[in-house]
Amino acid sequence: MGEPAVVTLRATRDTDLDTLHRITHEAGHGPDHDPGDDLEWRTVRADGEIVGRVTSRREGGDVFVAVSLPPSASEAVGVRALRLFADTLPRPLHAKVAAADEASAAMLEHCGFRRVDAGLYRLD
Amino acid sequence: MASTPTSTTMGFTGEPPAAPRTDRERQKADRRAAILTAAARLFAERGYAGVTIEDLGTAVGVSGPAVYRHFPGKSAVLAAILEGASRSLLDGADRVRIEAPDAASALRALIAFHVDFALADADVIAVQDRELEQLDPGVRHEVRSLQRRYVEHWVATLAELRPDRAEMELRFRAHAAFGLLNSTPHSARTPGRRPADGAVRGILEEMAWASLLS
Repeated sequence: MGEPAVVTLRATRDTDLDTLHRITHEAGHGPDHDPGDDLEWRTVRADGEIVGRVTSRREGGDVFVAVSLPPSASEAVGVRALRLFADTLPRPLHAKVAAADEASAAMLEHCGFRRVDAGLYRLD
Repeated sequence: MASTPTSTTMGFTGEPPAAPRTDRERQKADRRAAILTAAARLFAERGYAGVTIEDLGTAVGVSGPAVYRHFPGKSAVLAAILEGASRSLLDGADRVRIEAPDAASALRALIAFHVDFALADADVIAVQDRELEQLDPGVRHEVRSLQRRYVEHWVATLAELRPDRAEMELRFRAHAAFGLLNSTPHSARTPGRRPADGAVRGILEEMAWASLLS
């Protein structure tokens, strides 16, 4: 199969939620809440198939982004989705990464984020 | 990769001209698709005339001039949206009729397919209904021809089910059903939120079936 030809984002729909819940569960991202007013949710699709989501939320005046993809997804898909998402958001953006999560850290750096503190990344 | 079917398998993604091979080409393909999605939304919201190339760039986070790296102009964006949509519809109808064991199943599947498309791509459908005249004559001719072939799938299926009826009436019924299916998802949409697709789907399918065969 290789890399998908096209990665797209769309505003998350009610009908996407079952699939997204399953994916975030597989990814070990814990229980989900439904999209609220303080969150932007985008469904990530690779060649038309739902593969995960990107979200943004406000925390103490800063905007944080997060990517949820199943462990089987390639880092490149995460990079492509995050890049599309970040381009539509005001800077600076922030992201948190668990200490052992080297793949996510690599993905963020690939998108131009830099490490500002332990587990904390920023894109200006 | 999760092997998860989406709510719609023929959703309009704006197929890039060729399969991208490098990271750079993939990034370009992603950007092109993002421009098309944003353009469909903006054209649906404000009308084709009310959207500038600058607006398209802003919507995906690039400058107006950067949009020209993907499309020679605004009319090329509209052309890609409408050609992509009519091609997806025709491909879907081709597939449905090949796979259906009989005319009644084919009609059910055509209706379900069209409802899927109208729900998933309400923006594109709205643009198709309103902005076809904005296309350059050559592209408009191509889009019209794809649309005619799509309608022919419906008319041929209806003719098998109702051989007693004149073709003109069947064609009229097909267009009336499209009107029902195309306008409702968009008009039933409240700002920022889509209607609960599951509920809308059943009602639309039932109404379309009745309107075609009553």
